[in-house]
Amino acid sequence: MVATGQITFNNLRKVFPPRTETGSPVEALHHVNAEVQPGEFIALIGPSGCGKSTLLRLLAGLEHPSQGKILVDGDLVERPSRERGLVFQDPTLYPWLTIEQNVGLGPKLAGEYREKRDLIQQFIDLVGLKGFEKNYPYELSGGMQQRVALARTLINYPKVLLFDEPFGALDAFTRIKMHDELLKIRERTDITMVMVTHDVEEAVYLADRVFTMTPRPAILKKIVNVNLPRPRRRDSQAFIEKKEEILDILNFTA
Amino acid sequence: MEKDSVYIKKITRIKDRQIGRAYFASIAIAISLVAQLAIPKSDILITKSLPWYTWLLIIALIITTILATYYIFFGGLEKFVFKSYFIGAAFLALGLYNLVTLKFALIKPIFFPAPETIINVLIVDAGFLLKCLLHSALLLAYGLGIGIITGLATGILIGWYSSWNYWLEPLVKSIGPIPSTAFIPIALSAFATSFQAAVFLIALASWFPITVLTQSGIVNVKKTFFEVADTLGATDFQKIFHVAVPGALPNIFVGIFNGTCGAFLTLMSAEMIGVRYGIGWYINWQREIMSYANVYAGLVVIAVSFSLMIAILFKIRDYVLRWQKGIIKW
Ligand SMILES: Nc1ncnc2c1ncn2[C@@H]1O[C@H](COP(=O)(O)OP(=O)(O)OP(=O)(O)O)[C@@H](O)[C@H]1O
Ligand SMILES: [Mg+2]
Repeated sequence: MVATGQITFNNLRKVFPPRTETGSPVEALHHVNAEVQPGEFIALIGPSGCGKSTLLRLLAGLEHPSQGKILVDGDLVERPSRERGLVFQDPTLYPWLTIEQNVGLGPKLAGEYREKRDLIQQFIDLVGLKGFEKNYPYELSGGMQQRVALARTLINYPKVLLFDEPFGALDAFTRIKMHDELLKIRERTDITMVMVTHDVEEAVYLADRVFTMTPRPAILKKIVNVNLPRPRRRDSQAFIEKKEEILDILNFTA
Repeated sequence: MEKDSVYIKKITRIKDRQIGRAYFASIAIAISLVAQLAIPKSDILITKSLPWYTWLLIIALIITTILATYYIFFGGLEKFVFKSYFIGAAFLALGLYNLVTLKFALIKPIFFPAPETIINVLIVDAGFLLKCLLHSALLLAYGLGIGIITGLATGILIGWYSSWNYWLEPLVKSIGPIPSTAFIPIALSAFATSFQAAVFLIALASWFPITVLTQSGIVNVKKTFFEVADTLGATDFQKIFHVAVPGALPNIFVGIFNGTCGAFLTLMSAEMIGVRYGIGWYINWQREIMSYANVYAGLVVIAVSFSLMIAILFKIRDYVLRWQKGIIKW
């Protein structure tokens, strides 16, 4: 099987028009060039407002670049597609659908809900929510909801999975559990993953490479290779050094 | 020892029960009944005496007493106990009205018939009242059905497509606020039958609020819901029916409630002005021939059937919007 999920950012620029008549346009991204290999896990990290979400939304096809382009497996990204799944910080489950129906929405939209019933169940089991099929989102905790959002995206077998601070709203304990679950899922699916995060530790624990970004106009400042063996230990010397390396890039070198 | 604690528990449980509140309705009804039986009818009134009001009180007394007693011994029936004060007060008010009319004839008997006379109409005229009611219900069903369908369609079009919004919204905004009763004269001459005219007017009355609330409901659905649908592969059309409409449902139901009330109002007006049948027409006709007991009987029928309809609508809404539990307090 040919590995899929290769991403190319080619001279990417995004300028938002001014919000008011007197305001000036906001340049959120300034000539971003990068490559992501199939199956890689990339963490995007940088100060607030620097354009991380914008980059992710461009990749998802929810925004259009002002200049440059994004290619996924050689195809130009022009509009959203089920091949590029997106998980927001807020789980954004549809409150009027049960857990089962939320997870099954992708298949349903493709007209394959009935055929994929077993698959839907498999993905609910995969994220550990067996028994909650008929519940509505309001009956679930934040962490459980986020796992449903993950299953809802995974069931479409996307080539690329995008996360915008997916665990930002979770407590530290749940977050650590989610990290391991995510890595387990990744072992089985080898989807390319790009995750925006504020948490350096999260980035070092999960990612193969960490993209650091500068404040506006955002450029890709430095790409850090996290070549630590897995499973990674958060208290190992190498791990802590990696964290400090990234913190240094973000804070001190101007 | 064991037995003792069970016994004590049972005693305190019974003590916890609100005996006074439970029996309040029965006591109030009993008082009304005593007044009805003990006080002689005013000798100004020449109509013959009818047993219906006495019967009503007796039946109500039996039912409320059984319910209250059941509650005292076995619990449950919280809803009845909660309503007991209200039921009692309603019967006291009716009893007072009975005193003012039947017993002492303090107000004009021709305009204010005694309870027993009104009940008499409900019984004697039941068949005809039912026919009128069915006729009105049919009008309402057609009108409201058309109003809901066209309202949803218009609301979706102007809430979702900017081109439809451009052309249709001014029309909606200008026609909508005109009370549909103002169209009665035009409708009566424009349509072949008064039935069609009434259906049109009722549809018009419900169409506007449903349109406006469907539109605002759709416009207010969270943007990220649509973005998620995009990344799950939804087409534009699918986004309407999988995201926009379900997301707008709470608003749509408010629109349907408002629409139903508007439709009802229009129905009554239409019947009083031009349509030659139905419960509104019945009331108007009886008023013209000065039989006010029949007018009141008609009003009772309207009140009961309308509140029944609203209650059913509430049940439907609660079922359809069951996913809102915990999100919104009704
Ligand atoms: N739709 C928009 N219109 C105008 N400006 C926008 C728009 N979206 C984002 N911006 C601007 O672009 C810049 C980058 O925003 P973005 O949301 O990508 O930042 P971020 O890195 O995700 O920040 P955070 O870490 O706080 O989420 C910000 O200055 C923001 O104000
Ligand atoms: Mg962001």
